[in-house]
Amino acid sequence: MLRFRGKLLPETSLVMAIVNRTPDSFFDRGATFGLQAALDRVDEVVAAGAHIVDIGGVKAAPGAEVSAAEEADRVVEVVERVRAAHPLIVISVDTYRASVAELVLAAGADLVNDAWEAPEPETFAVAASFGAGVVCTHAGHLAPRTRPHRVSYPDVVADVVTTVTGLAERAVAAGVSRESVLIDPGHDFGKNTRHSLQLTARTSDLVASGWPVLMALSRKDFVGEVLDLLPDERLEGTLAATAVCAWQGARVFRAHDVGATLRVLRMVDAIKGLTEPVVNVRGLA
Amino acid sequence: MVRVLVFVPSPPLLLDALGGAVTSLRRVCQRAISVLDGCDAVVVGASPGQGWVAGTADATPYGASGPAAQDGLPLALAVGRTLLPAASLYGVTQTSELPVAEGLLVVGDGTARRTEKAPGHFDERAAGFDTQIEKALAEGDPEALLALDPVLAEALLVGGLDVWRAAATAALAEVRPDGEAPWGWSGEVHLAEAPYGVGYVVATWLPA
Repeated sequence: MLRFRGKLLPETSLVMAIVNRTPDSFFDRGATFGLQAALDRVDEVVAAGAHIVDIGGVKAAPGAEVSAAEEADRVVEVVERVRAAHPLIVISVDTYRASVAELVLAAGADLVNDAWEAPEPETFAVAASFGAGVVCTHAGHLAPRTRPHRVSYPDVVADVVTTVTGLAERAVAAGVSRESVLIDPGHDFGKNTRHSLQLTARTSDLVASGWPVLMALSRKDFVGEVLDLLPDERLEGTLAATAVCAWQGARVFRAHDVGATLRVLRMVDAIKGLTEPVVNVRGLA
Repeated sequence: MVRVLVFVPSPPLLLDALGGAVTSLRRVCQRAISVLDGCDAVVVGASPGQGWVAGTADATPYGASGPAAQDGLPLALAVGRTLLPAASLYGVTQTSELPVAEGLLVVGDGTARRTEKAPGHFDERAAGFDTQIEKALAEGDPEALLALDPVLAEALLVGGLDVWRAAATAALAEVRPDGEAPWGWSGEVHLAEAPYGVGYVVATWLPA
């Protein structure tokens, strides 16, 4: 069961739509940096069927420093406006800062998506104080917004499982509800392409931990390197990885392409017998 | 009595199981290393501990498929083993002296901040620092290697500083047969580039 501040999510595979209030994220490159553009994007992804919207104010890659105040300026108002416009949607905010987490939770967010392995562990207590959820992500033990350089693991999957389940237990110990915790192996974060492929192939090892798994695969470099394609050419590769992970039991998929991702997940869910065909008359009439 | 030094970088891409992206770099390395043919050569590279090491050039920690080796080498020595399989391996730490050997394969890297997409992101000081390294190696100048700024090197994610300092110290310790003056070195740089934002340099030093 997944529940964030009382909002219960269906037992199907789920889509977390990416909404970047950044001028420099790798795929959309500022397309939704403006307040109205970000709000329009939220309306669009909610209409398309997204279960969660994930609002971010700082791009993951190295680049211009964004202060906590600037980050809050970018995301808090969006959260307030989205909360008012979409009372039932689960609002996630992509931040590694506890201070920003506190402000967005006060503004109505439900989930803190920390992609950097909890560099500010007080985030857990902050989330708990609002009854909100957290994402516990493996980032290769790197500092926020740094790139991997020759990282190596005796067993990358074991390292990920140990790290994210340890973070999840810490979150629960800090007061976060068990049904409000997601684990994320952090594709590309502190990993080379082969590491990310191994994690994709062994999604079931993460699922076996019992924690619901979030996969953030969308148009990432591991897809780009496998296919030697640029971000705007990575949809099919992303969807292939999405299907492989969903089949093994990953629950939530952070995505740029909401409609396409939802259709893949509905198909996988039907193959798994989790959902019924929407139409089912062929040969039965 | 060191008589030949060869300098190569150590991207994991040079390991056999991960090859492909840097075939031209590998060829240049192999050509440079050929001057060690017939030498009693030792591979020297950064290692958690100082001293002789035995082990396997294992690429599985970098995501290669297959069973992991129980005796995987540190990266620089793994790359050295791949390029010069018959040589002994010696691990270098910050303060290491090198063993006596006729030939040294010195495995180390320049900055990792040459471009915006570099592992350490762009730093405008990186290209100049790599040029200093290249110049020291081209001129066979151990003093210049020893003069590299360790604080800046750390900031620029330079991987080769310790091993270069150890090699430079060994090179300076050589004296001419008359005992009057330090041995001189003739340097040649075969490659100096940063195709992925990390400074690679391949060079040889022979007696002047």
